[in-house]
Parts: sequence; C-alpha cells; structure tokens
Amino acid sequence: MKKLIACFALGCFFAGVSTVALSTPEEDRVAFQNYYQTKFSDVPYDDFINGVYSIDMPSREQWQTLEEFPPYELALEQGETIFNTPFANGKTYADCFDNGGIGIRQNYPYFDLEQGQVITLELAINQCREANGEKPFRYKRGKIAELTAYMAYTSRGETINVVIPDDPRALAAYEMGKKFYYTKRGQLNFACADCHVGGSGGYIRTELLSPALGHTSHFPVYRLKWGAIGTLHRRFSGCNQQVRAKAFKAQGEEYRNLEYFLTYMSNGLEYNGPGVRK
Amino acid sequence: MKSILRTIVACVFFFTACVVGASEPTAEDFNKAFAEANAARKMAGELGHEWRDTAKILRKAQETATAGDLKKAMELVAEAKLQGEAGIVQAKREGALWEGRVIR
Repeated sequence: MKKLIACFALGCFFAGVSTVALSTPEEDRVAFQNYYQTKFSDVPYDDFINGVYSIDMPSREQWQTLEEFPPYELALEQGETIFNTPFANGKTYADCFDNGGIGIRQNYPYFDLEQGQVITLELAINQCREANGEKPFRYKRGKIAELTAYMAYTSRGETINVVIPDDPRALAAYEMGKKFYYTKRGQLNFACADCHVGGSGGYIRTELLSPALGHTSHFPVYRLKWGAIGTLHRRFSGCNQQVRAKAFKAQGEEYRNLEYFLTYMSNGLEYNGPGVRK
Repeated sequence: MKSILRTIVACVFFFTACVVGASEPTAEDFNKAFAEANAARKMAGELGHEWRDTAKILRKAQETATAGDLKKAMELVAEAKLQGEAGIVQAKREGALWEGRVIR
C-alpha cells in the first residue's frame, strides 16, 4: 500500500513538472494577462498600456498634463526627418521595411527564420543602414530612439502582434527570454518579476511599481530622469544596474529574447508609443 | 616547567609571525589573489550573473596596489572574489528556482 501511495505521489510530482515544462507561450500569455486583470480588477484591460499610470491616479493626472505638450515631440520631428532622409545610395528606410516602414512597430520583435534570431526594430534599422552602406546607430539613445519614436507613432492604435513561429529555435528564444524575466540577478538578488509581478502595485521607496502587462507598448520613452528619449534596452539596462547586476549589451541576445517574451505577453493590447515617463 | 615556558614562547613567536605575515602581504600574494578573484568574476559573467560593481572593485584594487597599499588592495580583492563566487552560486541556484516563479 505504501509503495502504491509513493508511486502515486511520484506520478503526481512528475505530472506537475511536465505541465510546468510544457506550458505553451499562449498558455503563458493567458495566465500572465489574467494575473494582472485579477490583481488590478478596477483597471480596464486596454488601460494597462499606460504602465504605472493605469494604477496611480494622482500621477496619472500629471502625466496626462505632460502628454498635452509631450516632451518627445521634438524627437518625433527629428525621427521623421531621419526616416525620410535618403542614404548616400539614394535609398531610404522605407525600402527596407514592409508597408514602407509605416504602421509596422506592433509586429516587432519577430523571429527571423533565415537569420535564426530575434529581430527587434532597432536591430532591423541598423541592418538596413549597414545593407545600404551606412554606419549603424548606437542602440540606447539619440538617433535610434528618435527614429523608432517616429515609427512607433505611425503604429499608434495598432494591436501588438508578436508571433512565435513553429520552429524550435523561436521557442528556445522565447523560453530564454522567459527564464531571464524570472531569474534573480545582482547583489540585491532581484528578478524583473520580483518588482513587476509580485511587487506590482507596491512601493520601492517612494516609487510605485508598475504592472508588467503593457510594459513594452509605449517605447521608446522620454524619461524625465534621462531628460531625453531612450530605447527599451536602455531601460532594461537601467533596471539590471538598479539591482546591482552587470547590465547586458543593448541588442545583445539576452535583451532581444527578453523583449520577445515580454512583448508577447502583451499581445492583444494596443501599441501607444512613444510615451513619457518619470 | 621549562618545557611549558618553551612551548609558550614558541607559540607567541608563531602567532606574532602569523599576524605580521597577514598584515603585510606581498605583491606576489596580491597578484595571486587578484587572478583568483578575476577568474570568479569571469565565471559569474559567463553564467550571466556578474554583479555590477565587481569589475570596479578589482580596478580599484589594482590602483590601490600600484599606489603601494597592499593591505587595502587585498581587502578589495577579497570583496571582489566574494562577489564573483556569490554570482556563481546565484546562477546555479536560479537555474533550478526560476521556473517556480512563472505565472501559471
């Protein structure tokens, strides 16, 4: 009898483990979104794209005032100029992207089957530049952020639609991003999830921690702290350093896979970049 | 009685030598300790768990040693080594624990 119970317990354990290991990206996404909709039941689903301002009403009013004359406006104009300025060979960014590069932001990042890696919009821009004989932009701030701000603006209102193709390499990239998100790092021993899953809605010092759902919808962002517009990978880098972990390279494999996972979690929400944040 | 005294004197000399030895590290001691700490940092980095300040502490240790304060430099190297080793432990531990945090 004891052996029977032991076998049953072992069976249950392995059944549990295999369920854990076999959760699909779509199952993850549904669980992820349900978690936040339950935790913040007063927040309408569509409002999660506003990050911390979906749960912080006093700050929301200040933010809405800022959005009336947004500090990223100049970056938008500069981004449009960059977008429309031909390369030395006469071609433009429009030649590199579907639909001439307009209204495509919501489809990034995607897994490129030929290259066998996650392609973010920033990486695609630099691949376009290099293919046309231009030097690549730096990845955290400046022209890359201005250009993606403009391209993001043309995607406002479009639904985030990150696809994970039926390819083991794509699934592996997604899983690596997922692992990164839930892994504790640095001297302070924090995972991204510690602040933005369990800790969301709570405080670190005076800062209210935002829900992770919708986190990538509004990038690039003009951060008042930066006094400039910056990319998502700049923010990833800052988060890692805040927990006293060595940051990874912007547009390196780690952050691209993280962006792949995190953006997939927001599939179904609207894209609303660029944004402004504290 | 004499043998007890001899033992006590020998012990005093021995511990004095230890204390003096510990408080005055040589350049060779520093180089060895630095290499060990740097190896721990690199290993943590390969596992994706290098901590933010480890390389900075090692740079500071090198500068301090160059300035001639080997005792302080050894303290810094020990701190860096501890960070590197802790990063390795963190990587191994997290390899087993992260899945338990996934939202289900």
